[in-house]
Amino acid sequence: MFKPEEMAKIEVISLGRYKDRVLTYLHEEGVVEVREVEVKLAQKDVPNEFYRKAASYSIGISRLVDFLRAHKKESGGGLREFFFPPEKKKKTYRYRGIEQLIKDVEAFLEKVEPEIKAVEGKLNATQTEMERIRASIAILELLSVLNIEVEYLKSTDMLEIVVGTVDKDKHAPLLEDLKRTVGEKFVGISKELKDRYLVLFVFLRKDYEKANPVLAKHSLERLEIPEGKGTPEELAAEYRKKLREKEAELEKARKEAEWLSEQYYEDVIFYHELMENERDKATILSSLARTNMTFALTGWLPKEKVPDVVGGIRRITENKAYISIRDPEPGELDEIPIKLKNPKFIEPFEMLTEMFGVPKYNEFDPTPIMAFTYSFFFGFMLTDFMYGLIIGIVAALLIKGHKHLRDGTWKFANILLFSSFFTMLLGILFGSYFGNALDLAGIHVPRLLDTMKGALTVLEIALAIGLIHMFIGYTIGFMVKLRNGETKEALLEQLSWMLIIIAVVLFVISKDYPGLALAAKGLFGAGFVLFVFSELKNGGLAALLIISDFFGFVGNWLSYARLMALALATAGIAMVVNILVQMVWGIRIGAVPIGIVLGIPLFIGGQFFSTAINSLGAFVHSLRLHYVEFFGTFYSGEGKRFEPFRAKREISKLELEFEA
Amino acid sequence: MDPIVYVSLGAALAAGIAGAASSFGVGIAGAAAAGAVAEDEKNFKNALILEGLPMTQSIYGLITLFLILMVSGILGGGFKFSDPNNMTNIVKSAILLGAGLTVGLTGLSAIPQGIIASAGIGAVAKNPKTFTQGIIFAAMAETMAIFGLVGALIMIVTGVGF
Repeated sequence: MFKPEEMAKIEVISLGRYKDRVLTYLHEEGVVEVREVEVKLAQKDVPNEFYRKAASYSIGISRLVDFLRAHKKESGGGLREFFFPPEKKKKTYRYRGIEQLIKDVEAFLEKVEPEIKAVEGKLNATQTEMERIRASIAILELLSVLNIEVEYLKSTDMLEIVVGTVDKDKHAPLLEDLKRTVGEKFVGISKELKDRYLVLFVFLRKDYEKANPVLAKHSLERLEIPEGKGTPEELAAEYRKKLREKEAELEKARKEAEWLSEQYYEDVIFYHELMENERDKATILSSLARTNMTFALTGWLPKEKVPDVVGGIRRITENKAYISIRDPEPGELDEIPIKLKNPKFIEPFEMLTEMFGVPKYNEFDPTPIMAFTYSFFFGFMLTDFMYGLIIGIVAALLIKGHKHLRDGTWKFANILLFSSFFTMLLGILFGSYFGNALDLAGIHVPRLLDTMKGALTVLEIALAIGLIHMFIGYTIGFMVKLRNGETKEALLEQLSWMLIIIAVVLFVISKDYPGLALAAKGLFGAGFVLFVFSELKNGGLAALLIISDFFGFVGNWLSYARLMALALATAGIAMVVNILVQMVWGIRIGAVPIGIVLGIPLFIGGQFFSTAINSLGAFVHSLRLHYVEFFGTFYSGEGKRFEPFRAKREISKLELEFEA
Repeated sequence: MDPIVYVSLGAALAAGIAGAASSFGVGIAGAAAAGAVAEDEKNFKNALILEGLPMTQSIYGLITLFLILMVSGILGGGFKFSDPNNMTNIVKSAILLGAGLTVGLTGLSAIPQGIIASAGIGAVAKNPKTFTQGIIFAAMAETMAIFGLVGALIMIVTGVGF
């Protein structure tokens, strides 16, 4: 807690024939972040033939996955799935090395791929065919105004027949142009359609060469005459029949695809995951160094995992490995990956810290403080027992449902659960249950303070909280900098503000104890002088920065007023809903209490809307108060996150043969 | 002017300007949201939340409207400041006008917030991980509206009182 997990640097050199084993072992363990080996003598490793195959199969299988997923029968979904996503079963694969795995995948693909491709091809072909038939039907429908049997619209040895459509304003010029070029030796029929003309021309074959450019010039769109005999209507009916046949075929092919999906989907995504992981493993190879017989890798891992990993590597290399473990050196501060370490119950809040950026190795991890202040601010901005209860119930359901996944939703729900506790607590203190609903109903609720009537007191509380919050931040920064030997920065950048904050507090208290006024002035002066000194390094800009940074501090402090504003906004929206409900409540038509019928849905809908919009506001602004105001006092967030070399195993599990 | 003119102007400007600004903001963000959803339907939830952010200004306006109506007695009971010859009535109702105007004008921050949100929606469509950052960026613009609400509340509570 408060400090990132202690890390150690590991260096391994072993024989080349153990490379695949060591990599697979580390990949499955997922506790080492592999870094590039910087040795000038040795060359970099490159993926071998099997890894390249794995990459190409991974892409190939992902196409099969897409096809099968598209034809998968939908199951579940909706709200239930959201709250309680089903647990995925993990299939075990016995891993004997990448060569064997590639062989297994090839064997699987040999069996499955042709089957899937055949159905996919059939589906595509049928769909293309149906498109063609539909296009033919559309043309036949156009031709039906001509009422000429279709076979007569085909060109012959002597005659060239052109059927097409042309824009209305180009119709007359086209006819004139044609007359000019080929004279009277052609027949033209025109029919007016909605916005175009349907035209039919019959040319002598020898004239056609002259006529063709004219047709193109007036942008005649040719229609391809469908094959067949009879009038357009008769033929269209025939084509429609064909279309229905094709539809049945398509349906059959879809069924087949569905069957395939049912049969193979699980296997295909299983092999896909295996291949993806091999591909991922291959990306690390370029960080390794190798000679003809050996390979070397280096990386970082949490100190507590060292015995496991060292033991593991020794075991699988049959003790033919050189392993070096050492503590980080001061020069490596910027390189050490950061893994946050906190007690279980505040671990979910690491998500919020990580979103901003993790601390450097010698810096402070603010997660434990944030866990408390974040939830408290959230509660303060929502301040309603019932809203807290609703959020708490939703969060508890999500935590239960996502327990096995431990995903983002699970962490988020944990944060919400903490926050809902403060929301309920503060809701009781402020006597707020769906806003002032109980008061309107005539039930007296005990409360320490009314958000609306005591708005100014709430504002004072909010600003006091702000001062405390920022003071904590500056104090942490002060202590961390002292520990890291940056005494000057600690004094100028943190202590200055600490003194100013203490001075502000003393100044407020001095209203009751006048003796403190002098101390307040003294401390303020001292703090301000330190602050001015801290700005002097900026040279000519110092004067400007002194003004802007000082008011920046004041602005940051006043920014905590949003605690009060959002608390009041919650009370306000709830009140608006309650007043609206109260207005309709009494309406009656005869003996029918129509007001109650309207009022209850209005109340439920309105309060749910209020819960949603206000908790969104509380979530966002509580986060902002931490990222902008709180972190601004001491936190850089410039550390590098620990990203271990780790296999993604959602549906597969490896059983390593060399481990057995 | 009669006190009722001040009071009703205050209420109307608070909810009116802030509401209009919110609708501009939501409009800007909504156009981006429609695009993001066309790209991938999975963006719907994230885009919807971002699109909703510029809506808060109208809520602040609405709250101010109700507060003004409540403290002036229009809501519940009768209008308290109806006598135009009493100077206190004029002062109090003018303060209410000022409070309403503060919330209304700072509510204009909904428009730039909509612009930020729309950029955030575009970013989320490309990379869903930027969602929270997008929200924070948009929330920055809301600060001014919150300050406006705080100022207006101080004016209402200290200047008029319940």
